[in-house]
Amino acid sequence: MSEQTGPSARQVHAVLAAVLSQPTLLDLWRSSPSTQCLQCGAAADFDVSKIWRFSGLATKVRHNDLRPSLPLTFALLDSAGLSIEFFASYALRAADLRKQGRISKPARIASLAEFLYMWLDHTHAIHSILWDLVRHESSIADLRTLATARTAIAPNGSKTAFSVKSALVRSAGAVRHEMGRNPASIIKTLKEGGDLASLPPEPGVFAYCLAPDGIRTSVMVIDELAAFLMDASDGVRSVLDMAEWLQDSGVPLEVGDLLVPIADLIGRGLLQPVEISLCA
Amino acid sequence: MTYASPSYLGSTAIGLAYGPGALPFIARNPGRTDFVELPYELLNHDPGAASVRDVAPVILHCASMSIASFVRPPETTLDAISQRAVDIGTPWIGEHLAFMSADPVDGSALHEPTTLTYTVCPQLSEEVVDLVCRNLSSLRARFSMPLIVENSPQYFQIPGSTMSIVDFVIEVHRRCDIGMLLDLTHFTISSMNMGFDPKIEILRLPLDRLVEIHISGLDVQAGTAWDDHAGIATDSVFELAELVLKHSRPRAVTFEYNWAPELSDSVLLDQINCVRGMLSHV
Repeated sequence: MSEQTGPSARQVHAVLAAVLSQPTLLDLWRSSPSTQCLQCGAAADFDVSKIWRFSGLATKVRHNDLRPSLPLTFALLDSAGLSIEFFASYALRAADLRKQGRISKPARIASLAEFLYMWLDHTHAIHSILWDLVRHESSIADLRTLATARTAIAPNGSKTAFSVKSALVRSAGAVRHEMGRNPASIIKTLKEGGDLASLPPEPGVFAYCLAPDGIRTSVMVIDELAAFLMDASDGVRSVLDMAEWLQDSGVPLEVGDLLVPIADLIGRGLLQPVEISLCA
Repeated sequence: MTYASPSYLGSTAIGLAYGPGALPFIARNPGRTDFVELPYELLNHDPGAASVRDVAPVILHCASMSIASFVRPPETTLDAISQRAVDIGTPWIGEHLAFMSADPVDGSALHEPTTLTYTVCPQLSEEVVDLVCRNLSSLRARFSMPLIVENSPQYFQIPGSTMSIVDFVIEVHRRCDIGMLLDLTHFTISSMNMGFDPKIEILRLPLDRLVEIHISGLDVQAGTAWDDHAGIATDSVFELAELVLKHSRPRAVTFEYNWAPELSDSVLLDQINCVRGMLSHV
Protein backbone atom coordinates (compact mmCIF):
# COMPACT_ATOMS: atom_id res chain seq x y z
CA MET A 1 0.00 0.00 0.00
CA SER A 2 1.20 3.53 -0.67
CA GLU A 3 0.39 7.10 0.29
CA GLN A 4 -2.43 8.66 -1.68
CA THR A 5 -1.12 11.40 -3.92
CA GLY A 6 -3.55 11.20 -6.84
CA PRO A 7 -7.10 12.39 -7.26
CA SER A 8 -9.59 11.84 -4.48
CA ALA A 9 -11.97 8.90 -4.58
CA ARG A 10 -14.90 11.29 -4.77
CA GLN A 11 -13.46 12.91 -7.92
CA VAL A 12 -12.56 9.58 -9.50
CA HIS A 13 -15.99 8.07 -8.92
CA ALA A 14 -17.65 11.22 -10.24
CA VAL A 15 -15.63 11.16 -13.47
CA LEU A 16 -16.20 7.45 -14.02
CA ALA A 17 -19.93 7.71 -13.43
CA ALA A 18 -20.20 10.81 -15.65
CA VAL A 19 -18.49 9.28 -18.68
CA LEU A 20 -20.17 5.90 -18.27
CA SER A 21 -23.60 7.49 -18.08
CA GLN A 22 -22.98 9.84 -21.02
CA PRO A 23 -21.58 8.03 -24.06
CA THR A 24 -21.29 11.39 -25.88
CA LEU A 25 -18.89 12.60 -23.22
CA LEU A 26 -16.91 9.38 -23.36
CA ASP A 27 -16.67 9.52 -27.16
CA LEU A 28 -15.53 13.14 -27.02
CA TRP A 29 -12.97 12.36 -24.37
CA ARG A 30 -11.76 9.33 -26.31
CA SER A 31 -11.42 11.14 -29.63
CA SER A 32 -9.67 14.15 -28.06
CA PRO A 33 -7.96 13.06 -24.86
CA SER A 34 -6.43 16.48 -24.44
CA THR A 35 -9.81 18.19 -24.61
CA GLN A 36 -10.87 19.57 -21.27
CA CYS A 37 -14.23 17.91 -21.67
CA LEU A 38 -14.22 17.17 -17.98
CA GLN A 39 -13.49 19.99 -15.62
CA CYS A 40 -11.66 17.66 -13.31
CA GLY A 41 -7.98 17.11 -12.72
CA ALA A 42 -8.62 13.40 -12.32
CA ALA A 43 -9.51 12.96 -15.98
CA ALA A 44 -5.94 12.81 -17.24
CA ASP A 45 -5.15 9.77 -15.10
CA PHE A 46 -7.71 7.46 -16.69
CA ASP A 47 -7.12 4.89 -19.41
CA VAL A 48 -9.93 6.12 -21.63
CA SER A 49 -9.77 3.18 -24.05
CA LYS A 50 -10.30 0.70 -21.25
CA ILE A 51 -13.18 2.71 -19.82
CA TRP A 52 -14.70 2.83 -23.31
CA ARG A 53 -14.47 -0.98 -23.52
CA PHE A 54 -15.95 -1.29 -20.05
CA SER A 55 -18.90 0.75 -21.31
CA GLY A 56 -19.17 -1.94 -24.00
CA LEU A 57 -19.54 -4.63 -21.34
CA ALA A 58 -22.19 -2.56 -19.57
CA THR A 59 -24.07 -1.98 -22.82
CA LYS A 60 -23.86 -5.67 -23.70
CA VAL A 61 -25.33 -6.60 -20.33
CA ARG A 62 -28.17 -4.12 -20.89
CA HIS A 63 -29.06 -6.07 -24.02
CA ASN A 64 -29.24 -9.46 -22.32
CA ASP A 65 -32.99 -9.48 -22.81
CA LEU A 66 -32.39 -9.69 -26.58
CA ARG A 67 -30.27 -12.84 -26.23
CA PRO A 68 -33.24 -15.25 -26.40
CA SER A 69 -34.12 -13.71 -29.80
CA LEU A 70 -30.54 -13.52 -31.09
CA PRO A 71 -28.73 -16.30 -29.21
CA LEU A 72 -26.26 -17.24 -31.91
CA THR A 73 -25.56 -13.65 -32.93
CA PHE A 74 -24.52 -12.91 -29.35
CA ALA A 75 -22.58 -16.17 -29.16
CA LEU A 76 -20.68 -15.38 -32.36
CA LEU A 77 -20.00 -11.78 -31.32
CA ASP A 78 -18.49 -13.20 -28.13
CA SER A 79 -16.55 -16.08 -29.65
CA ALA A 80 -15.16 -13.83 -32.38
CA GLY A 81 -13.97 -11.39 -29.72
CA LEU A 82 -16.12 -8.59 -31.13
CA SER A 83 -18.86 -8.07 -28.57
CA ILE A 84 -17.07 -5.66 -26.23
CA GLU A 85 -15.99 -3.20 -28.94
CA PHE A 86 -19.25 -3.58 -30.86
CA PHE A 87 -21.35 -2.72 -27.83
CA ALA A 88 -18.95 0.08 -26.83
CA SER A 89 -19.53 1.55 -30.29
CA TYR A 90 -23.27 0.99 -29.97
CA ALA A 91 -23.54 2.62 -26.51
CA LEU A 92 -24.39 6.05 -27.86
CA ARG A 93 -27.16 4.77 -30.17
CA ALA A 94 -28.52 2.58 -27.35
CA ALA A 95 -28.58 5.58 -24.99
CA ASP A 96 -30.46 7.63 -27.59
CA LEU A 97 -33.03 4.85 -27.92
CA ARG A 98 -33.49 4.69 -24.16
CA LYS A 99 -34.13 8.42 -24.09
CA GLN A 100 -37.04 7.85 -26.46
CA GLY A 101 -38.80 5.91 -23.73
CA ARG A 102 -40.25 2.44 -23.95
CA ILE A 103 -38.94 1.00 -27.18
CA SER A 104 -40.31 -2.38 -28.21
CA LYS A 105 -38.04 -5.38 -28.33
CA PRO A 106 -38.45 -5.76 -32.13
CA ALA A 107 -37.45 -2.10 -32.56
CA ARG A 108 -34.38 -2.62 -30.38
CA ILE A 109 -33.43 -5.71 -32.37
CA ALA A 110 -33.85 -3.77 -35.62
CA SER A 111 -31.71 -0.92 -34.30
CA LEU A 112 -29.00 -3.29 -33.17
CA ALA A 113 -28.98 -5.14 -36.51
CA GLU A 114 -28.87 -1.87 -38.46
CA PHE A 115 -25.93 -0.63 -36.41
CA LEU A 116 -24.18 -3.97 -36.76
CA TYR A 117 -24.46 -3.66 -40.54
CA MET A 118 -22.69 -0.29 -40.44
CA TRP A 119 -20.10 -1.45 -37.94
CA LEU A 120 -19.03 -4.70 -39.60
CA ASP A 121 -16.24 -5.05 -42.15
CA HIS A 122 -18.13 -6.98 -44.82
CA THR A 123 -14.92 -8.10 -46.54
CA HIS A 124 -14.07 -10.15 -43.44
CA ALA A 125 -15.48 -13.71 -43.43
CA ILE A 126 -16.64 -13.79 -39.81
CA HIS A 127 -18.13 -10.32 -40.08
CA SER A 128 -20.12 -11.26 -43.17
CA ILE A 129 -21.31 -14.43 -41.42
CA LEU A 130 -22.45 -12.28 -38.50
CA TRP A 131 -24.46 -10.15 -40.89
CA ASP A 132 -26.12 -13.27 -42.32
CA LEU A 133 -26.79 -14.61 -38.83
CA VAL A 134 -28.31 -11.47 -37.34
CA ARG A 135 -30.71 -11.10 -40.29
CA HIS A 136 -31.67 -14.77 -40.01
CA GLU A 137 -32.31 -14.64 -36.26
CA SER A 138 -34.00 -11.23 -36.27
CA SER A 139 -36.32 -12.27 -39.12
CA ILE A 140 -37.41 -15.34 -37.19
CA ALA A 141 -37.79 -13.29 -33.99
CA ASP A 142 -40.00 -10.78 -35.84
CA LEU A 143 -42.16 -13.57 -37.24
CA ARG A 144 -42.57 -15.15 -33.82
CA THR A 145 -43.66 -11.79 -32.42
CA LEU A 146 -46.09 -11.46 -35.30
CA ALA A 147 -47.43 -14.99 -34.79
CA THR A 148 -48.11 -14.21 -31.14
CA ALA A 149 -49.85 -10.96 -32.04
CA ARG A 150 -51.92 -12.62 -34.77
CA THR A 151 -53.52 -15.27 -32.61
CA ALA A 152 -56.62 -13.13 -32.41
CA ILE A 153 -56.79 -12.20 -36.09
CA ALA A 154 -56.98 -14.05 -39.35
CA PRO A 155 -53.83 -15.93 -40.29
CA ASN A 156 -51.94 -15.48 -43.53
CA GLY A 157 -52.97 -17.35 -46.61
CA SER A 158 -56.72 -17.11 -46.17
CA LYS A 159 -57.09 -15.79 -49.74
CA THR A 160 -55.30 -17.55 -52.55
CA ALA A 161 -57.28 -16.90 -55.74
CA PHE A 162 -55.76 -14.37 -58.13
CA SER A 163 -55.78 -13.37 -61.78
CA VAL A 164 -53.41 -11.53 -64.08
CA LYS A 165 -55.20 -8.35 -63.04
CA SER A 166 -54.58 -8.96 -59.36
CA ALA A 167 -52.07 -6.97 -57.42
CA LEU A 168 -50.02 -8.72 -54.79
CA VAL A 169 -48.52 -7.80 -51.45
CA ARG A 170 -46.01 -9.52 -49.26
CA SER A 171 -47.71 -11.40 -46.46
CA ALA A 172 -47.30 -9.77 -43.06
CA GLY A 173 -43.77 -10.25 -41.83
CA ALA A 174 -42.48 -11.79 -45.07
CA VAL A 175 -38.94 -10.67 -45.91
CA ARG A 176 -36.13 -11.82 -48.11
CA HIS A 177 -32.38 -11.56 -47.60
CA GLU A 178 -29.44 -12.11 -49.90
CA MET A 179 -27.14 -14.23 -47.79
CA GLY A 180 -23.47 -14.95 -48.31
CA ARG A 181 -23.83 -18.36 -46.68
CA ASN A 182 -26.66 -20.72 -45.87
CA PRO A 183 -27.84 -19.87 -42.31
CA ALA A 184 -28.38 -23.58 -41.62
CA SER A 185 -24.71 -24.26 -42.39
CA ILE A 186 -23.64 -21.35 -40.18
CA ILE A 187 -25.76 -22.60 -37.27
CA LYS A 188 -24.58 -26.20 -37.65
CA THR A 189 -20.93 -25.13 -37.72
CA LEU A 190 -21.40 -22.78 -34.77
CA LYS A 191 -23.17 -25.40 -32.64
CA GLU A 192 -20.55 -28.03 -33.46
CA GLY A 193 -17.74 -25.63 -32.60
CA GLY A 194 -16.38 -25.82 -36.15
CA ASP A 195 -14.26 -23.29 -37.98
CA LEU A 196 -16.68 -20.68 -39.31
CA ALA A 197 -13.96 -18.78 -41.16
CA SER A 198 -13.44 -21.77 -43.44
CA LEU A 199 -17.16 -22.14 -44.21
CA PRO A 200 -17.30 -21.66 -47.98
CA PRO A 201 -19.48 -18.91 -49.44
CA GLU A 202 -22.85 -20.23 -50.50
CA PRO A 203 -24.73 -17.19 -51.80
CA GLY A 204 -28.48 -17.45 -52.02
CA VAL A 205 -31.71 -15.60 -51.49
CA PHE A 206 -33.59 -16.72 -48.38
CA ALA A 207 -37.20 -15.84 -47.69
CA TYR A 208 -38.85 -15.80 -44.29
CA CYS A 209 -42.57 -15.82 -43.54
CA LEU A 210 -45.24 -17.30 -41.34
CA ALA A 211 -46.48 -20.63 -42.57
CA PRO A 212 -50.12 -20.67 -43.72
CA ASP A 213 -51.16 -21.83 -40.23
CA GLY A 214 -50.02 -18.41 -38.98
CA ILE A 215 -48.00 -20.00 -36.18
CA ARG A 216 -44.92 -21.72 -37.55
CA THR A 217 -42.15 -19.82 -39.31
CA SER A 218 -40.94 -20.84 -42.76
CA VAL A 219 -37.46 -20.27 -44.11
CA MET A 220 -36.83 -21.14 -47.74
CA VAL A 221 -34.38 -20.60 -50.55
CA ILE A 222 -35.99 -18.74 -53.41
CA ASP A 223 -34.79 -18.13 -56.95
CA GLU A 224 -34.18 -14.86 -58.74
CA LEU A 225 -37.69 -14.71 -60.20
CA ALA A 226 -39.30 -15.28 -56.80
CA ALA A 227 -37.11 -12.54 -55.34
CA PHE A 228 -38.24 -10.21 -58.14
CA LEU A 229 -41.88 -11.08 -57.52
CA MET A 230 -41.53 -10.36 -53.81
CA ASP A 231 -39.92 -7.00 -54.53
CA ALA A 232 -42.49 -6.10 -57.19
CA SER A 233 -45.47 -6.99 -55.00
CA ASP A 234 -46.35 -3.52 -53.78
CA GLY A 235 -50.13 -3.82 -53.60
CA VAL A 236 -50.54 -1.69 -56.73
CA ARG A 237 -48.73 -3.41 -59.57
CA SER A 238 -50.74 -6.19 -61.25
CA VAL A 239 -49.33 -9.47 -62.51
CA LEU A 240 -49.64 -8.02 -66.01
CA ASP A 241 -47.59 -4.99 -64.95
CA MET A 242 -44.92 -7.27 -63.52
CA ALA A 243 -44.68 -9.21 -66.77
CA GLU A 244 -44.35 -5.96 -68.72
CA TRP A 245 -41.68 -4.75 -66.36
CA LEU A 246 -39.71 -7.94 -66.87
CA GLN A 247 -40.07 -7.72 -70.64
CA ASP A 248 -38.95 -4.07 -70.61
CA SER A 249 -35.89 -5.21 -68.70
CA GLY A 250 -35.11 -7.80 -71.37
CA VAL A 251 -36.42 -10.86 -69.53
CA PRO A 252 -38.35 -12.96 -72.08
CA LEU A 253 -41.22 -14.08 -69.85
CA GLU A 254 -44.90 -13.86 -70.63
CA VAL A 255 -47.56 -13.17 -68.03
CA GLY A 256 -48.54 -16.83 -68.13
CA ASP A 257 -45.03 -17.76 -67.03
CA LEU A 258 -45.59 -15.89 -63.77
CA LEU A 259 -48.78 -17.61 -62.69
CA VAL A 260 -47.28 -20.83 -61.35
CA PRO A 261 -44.43 -19.12 -59.45
CA ILE A 262 -46.89 -16.63 -57.95
CA ALA A 263 -49.28 -19.40 -56.92
CA ASP A 264 -46.33 -21.16 -55.33
CA LEU A 265 -45.29 -18.03 -53.37
CA ILE A 266 -48.88 -17.52 -52.22
CA GLY A 267 -49.08 -21.17 -51.18
CA ARG A 268 -45.88 -20.87 -49.20
CA GLY A 269 -47.18 -17.83 -47.34
CA LEU A 270 -44.87 -15.22 -48.90
CA LEU A 271 -47.40 -13.30 -51.01
CA GLN A 272 -51.09 -12.47 -50.88
CA PRO A 273 -53.35 -11.23 -53.69
CA VAL A 274 -55.24 -7.98 -53.18
CA GLU A 275 -58.16 -6.60 -55.09
CA ILE A 276 -57.43 -3.49 -57.11
CA SER A 277 -60.11 -0.93 -56.55
CA LEU A 278 -60.63 1.18 -59.63
CA CYS A 279 -61.43 4.74 -58.79
CA ALA A 280 -63.30 6.90 -61.25
CA MET B 1 -22.39 -12.80 13.14
CA THR B 2 -23.81 -16.11 11.99
CA TYR B 3 -24.90 -17.02 8.51
CA ALA B 4 -27.02 -19.84 9.36
CA SER B 5 -30.11 -20.50 8.43
CA PRO B 6 -32.67 -22.53 6.78
CA SER B 7 -32.23 -26.26 6.93
CA TYR B 8 -31.40 -26.45 3.26
CA LEU B 9 -28.16 -24.68 4.09
CA GLY B 10 -27.12 -27.26 6.65
CA SER B 11 -24.22 -28.14 4.39
CA THR B 12 -22.87 -26.25 1.44
CA ALA B 13 -25.79 -25.60 -0.84
CA ILE B 14 -25.43 -25.31 -4.60
CA GLY B 15 -27.66 -22.99 -6.55
CA LEU B 16 -28.21 -21.04 -9.72
CA ALA B 17 -28.50 -17.33 -10.39
CA TYR B 18 -31.97 -16.53 -11.66
CA GLY B 19 -32.04 -16.23 -15.44
CA PRO B 20 -33.96 -17.52 -18.41
CA GLY B 21 -32.38 -20.96 -18.20
CA ALA B 22 -32.48 -21.48 -14.44
CA LEU B 23 -36.04 -22.62 -13.79
CA PRO B 24 -36.21 -24.90 -16.85
CA PHE B 25 -32.93 -26.48 -15.73
CA ILE B 26 -34.31 -27.05 -12.23
CA ALA B 27 -37.49 -28.54 -13.66
CA ARG B 28 -35.51 -30.95 -15.84
CA ASN B 29 -33.09 -31.85 -13.06
CA PRO B 30 -35.00 -32.01 -9.77
CA GLY B 31 -32.89 -32.32 -6.65
CA ARG B 32 -29.66 -31.27 -8.30
CA THR B 33 -29.67 -27.70 -7.01
CA ASP B 34 -30.69 -26.29 -3.65
CA PHE B 35 -31.61 -22.63 -4.22
CA VAL B 36 -31.99 -19.79 -6.68
CA GLU B 37 -30.19 -16.49 -6.28
CA LEU B 38 -32.40 -13.58 -7.25
CA PRO B 39 -31.23 -10.01 -7.91
CA TYR B 40 -33.13 -7.37 -5.98
CA GLU B 41 -33.12 -5.14 -9.06
CA LEU B 42 -34.93 -7.78 -11.11
CA LEU B 43 -37.38 -8.40 -8.30
CA ASN B 44 -38.05 -4.69 -8.04
CA HIS B 45 -38.68 -4.46 -11.78
CA ASP B 46 -40.74 -7.64 -11.88
CA PRO B 47 -42.27 -8.52 -8.49
CA GLY B 48 -43.70 -11.66 -10.09
CA ALA B 49 -40.19 -13.10 -10.08
CA ALA B 50 -40.71 -13.73 -6.36
CA SER B 51 -42.76 -16.75 -7.36
CA VAL B 52 -39.46 -18.55 -7.79
CA ARG B 53 -39.92 -19.26 -4.06
CA ASP B 54 -42.48 -21.84 -5.10
CA VAL B 55 -39.71 -23.73 -6.89
CA ALA B 56 -36.72 -23.30 -4.62
CA PRO B 57 -35.44 -21.34 -1.61
CA VAL B 58 -34.14 -17.93 -2.59
CA ILE B 59 -31.00 -15.96 -1.74
CA LEU B 60 -31.17 -12.23 -2.43
CA HIS B 61 -28.36 -10.58 -4.37
CA CYS B 62 -28.13 -6.82 -4.70
CA ALA B 63 -26.27 -3.99 -6.41
CA SER B 64 -28.34 -1.03 -5.31
CA MET B 65 -26.76 -0.29 -1.93
CA SER B 66 -23.72 1.17 -3.70
CA ILE B 67 -21.62 0.51 -0.61
CA ALA B 68 -18.44 2.08 -2.01
CA SER B 69 -20.26 5.28 -2.90
CA PHE B 70 -20.21 8.76 -1.44
CA VAL B 71 -23.85 9.04 -2.46
CA ARG B 72 -26.22 7.20 -0.20
CA PRO B 73 -29.04 5.36 -1.93
CA PRO B 74 -32.55 6.72 -1.37
CA GLU B 75 -34.18 5.57 1.83
CA THR B 76 -37.04 4.21 -0.24
CA THR B 77 -34.61 1.89 -2.04
CA LEU B 78 -33.17 0.61 1.22
CA ASP B 79 -36.65 0.10 2.64
CA ALA B 80 -37.64 -1.83 -0.47
CA ILE B 81 -34.55 -4.06 -0.30
CA SER B 82 -35.27 -4.76 3.35
CA GLN B 83 -38.89 -5.62 2.64
CA ARG B 84 -38.04 -7.88 -0.31
CA ALA B 85 -35.40 -9.64 1.75
CA VAL B 86 -37.93 -10.41 4.47
CA ASP B 87 -40.60 -11.42 1.98
CA ILE B 88 -38.46 -13.98 0.21
CA GLY B 89 -36.84 -15.26 3.40
CA THR B 90 -33.27 -14.84 2.27
CA PRO B 91 -30.66 -16.02 4.79
CA TRP B 92 -28.37 -13.09 3.85
CA ILE B 93 -28.04 -10.34 1.26
CA GLY B 94 -25.05 -10.39 -1.04
CA GLU B 95 -23.96 -6.91 -2.13
CA HIS B 96 -21.19 -5.74 -4.47
CA LEU B 97 -18.10 -4.08 -3.05
CA ALA B 98 -18.56 -1.35 -5.63
CA PHE B 99 -20.40 1.86 -6.45
CA MET B 100 -23.33 2.66 -8.71
CA SER B 101 -23.86 6.30 -7.81
CA ALA B 102 -21.48 9.23 -7.66
CA ASP B 103 -21.44 12.99 -7.24
CA PRO B 104 -21.78 15.20 -10.30
CA VAL B 105 -18.46 16.17 -11.87
CA ASP B 106 -17.00 19.47 -10.65
CA GLY B 107 -18.03 22.26 -12.95
CA SER B 108 -20.50 20.20 -14.91
CA ALA B 109 -23.94 21.48 -15.73
CA LEU B 110 -25.38 18.53 -13.86
CA HIS B 111 -26.06 19.04 -10.20
CA GLU B 112 -27.70 15.73 -9.35
CA PRO B 113 -25.71 12.60 -8.48
CA THR B 114 -25.10 10.25 -11.37
CA THR B 115 -26.62 6.81 -10.95
CA LEU B 116 -25.62 3.93 -13.20
CA THR B 117 -27.48 0.69 -13.71
CA TYR B 118 -24.44 -1.45 -12.99
CA THR B 119 -21.67 -1.59 -10.43
CA VAL B 120 -18.18 -0.16 -10.91
CA CYS B 121 -14.98 -1.11 -9.08
CA PRO B 122 -14.16 1.78 -6.73
CA GLN B 123 -10.87 3.54 -6.11
CA LEU B 124 -8.78 1.15 -4.05
CA SER B 125 -7.64 3.39 -1.24
CA GLU B 126 -7.78 3.97 2.50
CA GLU B 127 -10.34 6.67 1.83
CA VAL B 128 -12.70 4.16 0.23
CA VAL B 129 -12.06 1.43 2.81
CA ASP B 130 -13.14 3.94 5.47
CA LEU B 131 -16.14 4.92 3.38
CA VAL B 132 -17.22 1.30 2.89
CA CYS B 133 -16.92 0.61 6.60
CA ARG B 134 -19.03 3.66 7.44
CA ASN B 135 -21.64 2.73 4.86
CA LEU B 136 -21.78 -0.89 5.96
CA SER B 137 -22.09 0.11 9.57
CA SER B 138 -25.21 2.14 8.92
CA LEU B 139 -26.66 -0.26 6.35
CA ARG B 140 -26.36 -3.41 8.44
CA ALA B 141 -28.55 -1.95 11.14
CA ARG B 142 -31.41 -1.73 8.65
CA PHE B 143 -31.59 -5.42 7.80
CA SER B 144 -32.74 -8.34 9.87
CA MET B 145 -30.36 -10.67 8.04
CA PRO B 146 -26.59 -10.35 7.50
CA LEU B 147 -25.01 -8.55 4.56
CA ILE B 148 -22.08 -10.14 2.78
CA VAL B 149 -19.86 -8.32 0.27
CA GLU B 150 -18.69 -9.47 -3.14
CA ASN B 151 -15.29 -8.64 -4.66
CA SER B 152 -15.53 -6.60 -7.89
CA PRO B 153 -13.76 -7.53 -11.10
CA GLN B 154 -11.05 -4.98 -11.89
CA TYR B 155 -10.78 -4.10 -15.57
CA PHE B 156 -8.40 -1.13 -15.41
CA GLN B 157 -6.26 0.85 -12.99
CA ILE B 158 -8.38 3.18 -10.92
CA PRO B 159 -6.62 6.54 -10.52
CA GLY B 160 -5.61 7.43 -6.99
CA SER B 161 -5.57 3.80 -5.87
CA THR B 162 -2.99 3.01 -3.22
CA MET B 163 -3.52 -0.72 -2.81
CA SER B 164 -4.27 -3.80 -4.86
CA ILE B 165 -7.80 -5.11 -5.11
CA VAL B 166 -6.78 -8.05 -2.94
CA ASP B 167 -5.49 -5.75 -0.20
CA PHE B 168 -8.62 -3.65 -0.54
CA VAL B 169 -10.86 -6.69 0.02
CA ILE B 170 -8.70 -7.85 2.92
CA GLU B 171 -8.87 -4.41 4.58
CA VAL B 172 -12.64 -4.17 4.21
CA HIS B 173 -13.10 -7.57 5.83
CA ARG B 174 -10.54 -6.87 8.53
CA ARG B 175 -12.15 -3.60 9.56
CA CYS B 176 -15.82 -4.31 8.95
CA ASP B 177 -16.38 -7.79 10.41
CA ILE B 178 -18.48 -8.82 7.46
CA GLY B 179 -19.08 -12.03 5.56
CA MET B 180 -17.46 -12.69 2.21
CA LEU B 181 -19.06 -13.44 -1.11
CA LEU B 182 -16.06 -14.56 -3.14
CA ASP B 183 -16.68 -14.34 -6.86
CA LEU B 184 -13.97 -16.61 -8.20
CA THR B 185 -14.44 -15.38 -11.74
CA HIS B 186 -14.12 -11.75 -10.67
CA PHE B 187 -10.99 -12.72 -8.79
CA THR B 188 -9.57 -14.49 -11.84
CA ILE B 189 -10.44 -11.52 -14.07
CA SER B 190 -8.70 -9.10 -11.70
CA SER B 191 -5.62 -11.33 -11.60
CA MET B 192 -5.44 -11.45 -15.40
CA ASN B 193 -5.98 -7.72 -15.84
CA MET B 194 -3.79 -6.55 -12.99
CA GLY B 195 -1.11 -9.22 -13.33
CA PHE B 196 -1.07 -11.07 -10.02
CA ASP B 197 -0.94 -14.77 -9.25
CA PRO B 198 -4.47 -15.73 -8.21
CA LYS B 199 -3.42 -18.96 -6.48
CA ILE B 200 -1.08 -17.10 -4.17
CA GLU B 201 -3.23 -14.03 -3.63
CA ILE B 202 -6.48 -15.89 -2.95
CA LEU B 203 -4.98 -17.54 0.08
CA ARG B 204 -4.26 -14.10 1.55
CA LEU B 205 -8.00 -13.45 1.76
CA PRO B 206 -9.68 -14.00 5.15
CA LEU B 207 -11.35 -17.21 3.99
CA ASP B 208 -12.71 -17.83 7.47
CA ARG B 209 -15.28 -15.18 6.54
CA LEU B 210 -16.34 -16.97 3.37
CA VAL B 211 -20.12 -17.40 3.16
CA GLU B 212 -20.80 -17.79 -0.53
CA ILE B 213 -18.91 -18.44 -3.77
CA HIS B 214 -19.89 -17.26 -7.24
CA ILE B 215 -18.78 -19.09 -10.37
CA SER B 216 -19.35 -17.87 -13.93
CA GLY B 217 -17.62 -17.55 -17.28
CA LEU B 218 -15.07 -15.05 -18.45
CA ASP B 219 -14.13 -13.80 -21.84
CA VAL B 220 -10.88 -12.23 -23.08
CA GLN B 221 -11.30 -9.47 -25.66
CA ALA B 222 -8.98 -6.65 -26.70
CA GLY B 223 -6.38 -7.83 -24.19
CA THR B 224 -8.72 -7.62 -21.21
CA ALA B 225 -10.58 -10.34 -19.32
CA TRP B 226 -14.30 -9.60 -18.93
CA ASP B 227 -17.11 -11.07 -16.86
CA ASP B 228 -19.31 -13.32 -18.99
CA HIS B 229 -22.35 -14.97 -17.44
CA ALA B 230 -23.23 -16.47 -20.82
CA GLY B 231 -19.96 -18.38 -20.93
CA ILE B 232 -18.83 -21.41 -19.00
CA ALA B 233 -16.35 -21.12 -16.13
CA THR B 234 -12.82 -22.01 -17.17
CA ASP B 235 -10.55 -24.62 -15.59
CA SER B 236 -8.62 -21.83 -13.88
CA VAL B 237 -11.77 -20.80 -11.99
CA PHE B 238 -12.32 -24.40 -10.83
CA GLU B 239 -8.69 -24.66 -9.77
CA LEU B 240 -9.29 -21.64 -7.54
CA ALA B 241 -12.49 -23.22 -6.23
CA GLU B 242 -10.58 -26.36 -5.29
CA LEU B 243 -7.93 -24.31 -3.54
CA VAL B 244 -10.46 -22.24 -1.60
CA LEU B 245 -12.54 -25.25 -0.62
CA LYS B 246 -9.48 -26.88 0.92
CA HIS B 247 -9.32 -23.95 3.32
CA SER B 248 -12.92 -22.99 3.87
CA ARG B 249 -16.43 -24.31 3.66
CA PRO B 250 -18.90 -21.73 2.35
CA ARG B 251 -22.63 -21.98 2.99
CA ALA B 252 -23.45 -21.68 -0.68
CA VAL B 253 -21.96 -21.95 -4.15
CA THR B 254 -23.85 -20.14 -6.91
CA PHE B 255 -23.40 -20.74 -10.61
CA GLU B 256 -24.06 -17.45 -12.39
CA TYR B 257 -25.04 -18.40 -15.90
CA ASN B 258 -27.93 -16.00 -15.94
CA TRP B 259 -27.20 -14.22 -19.24
CA ALA B 260 -27.52 -17.40 -21.25
CA PRO B 261 -30.95 -18.09 -22.73
CA GLU B 262 -30.36 -21.80 -22.32
CA LEU B 263 -28.14 -23.86 -20.09
CA SER B 264 -26.53 -27.03 -21.33
CA ASP B 265 -27.69 -29.65 -18.83
CA SER B 266 -24.67 -31.87 -19.32
CA VAL B 267 -22.14 -29.05 -18.88
CA LEU B 268 -23.85 -27.59 -15.83
CA LEU B 269 -24.42 -31.00 -14.21
CA ASP B 270 -20.74 -31.79 -14.73
CA GLN B 271 -19.81 -28.53 -13.03
CA ILE B 272 -22.22 -29.10 -10.15
CA ASN B 273 -20.83 -32.61 -9.68
CA CYS B 274 -17.31 -31.23 -9.83
CA VAL B 275 -18.03 -28.79 -6.98
CA ARG B 276 -19.87 -31.45 -4.96
CA GLY B 277 -16.82 -33.66 -5.41
CA MET B 278 -14.54 -30.91 -4.10
CA LEU B 279 -16.85 -30.38 -1.13
CA SER B 280 -16.88 -34.06 -0.28
CA HIS B 281 -13.12 -33.91 0.16
CA VAL B 282 -13.21 -30.96 2.54
